[in-house]
Amino acid sequence: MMSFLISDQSLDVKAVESVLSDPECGGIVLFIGNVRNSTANKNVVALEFEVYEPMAILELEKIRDEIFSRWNVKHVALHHRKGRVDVGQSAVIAGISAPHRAEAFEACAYLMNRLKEVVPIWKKEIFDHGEVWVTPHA
Amino acid sequence: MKVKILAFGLAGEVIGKRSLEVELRDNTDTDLLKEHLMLSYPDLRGLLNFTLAVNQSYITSAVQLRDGDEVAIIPPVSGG
Repeated sequence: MMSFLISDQSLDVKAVESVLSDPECGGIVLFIGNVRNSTANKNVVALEFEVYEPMAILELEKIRDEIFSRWNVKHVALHHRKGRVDVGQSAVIAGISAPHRAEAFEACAYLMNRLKEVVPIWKKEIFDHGEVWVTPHA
Repeated sequence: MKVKILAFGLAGEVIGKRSLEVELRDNTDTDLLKEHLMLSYPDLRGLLNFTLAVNQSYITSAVQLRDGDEVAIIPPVSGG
């Protein structure tokens, strides 16, 4: 099973966890990515996400297929915010459930890495004065 | 033929809008479209490594465009 959601509302960890819960799965790994208050010594007040939604879902489905082909994993979830997200709020929740934890950890790390490489989502950092589109590895 | 262009992130700012329609000669491919866009919006040249998606799929080399295609300008992604 899988659960992909792009939302302009607060993300719900419990909702992600319930998608992943399964009597066959001894391990659930959840990653919660929150908006940090600084970058490169500048105060960040919020992030603003733009999402190419239909393509984002297609790319997430490809990542899910890659995960299923590489690890013994039962469920994959990725919930991501769009629009403005203030400091301290969650921008992304990624989750994996699997019979055993090692595979869940690896697959969850892979899910987040691929999210940042291929899923068409862009973030803008909003500072006290001004804003800037984030370029990866900057 | 007409093609719908979507411009995301910095590309949307450079172009000044998030979506537009362009009229192209038949048999235009994505390389020609890129040239066309960079002539119309010279600031796109500053966006060194944007890629294109045609009908919600990344292209790895030039593809022929068809009437009604949706082409997205994809600057480096930065989700998460």
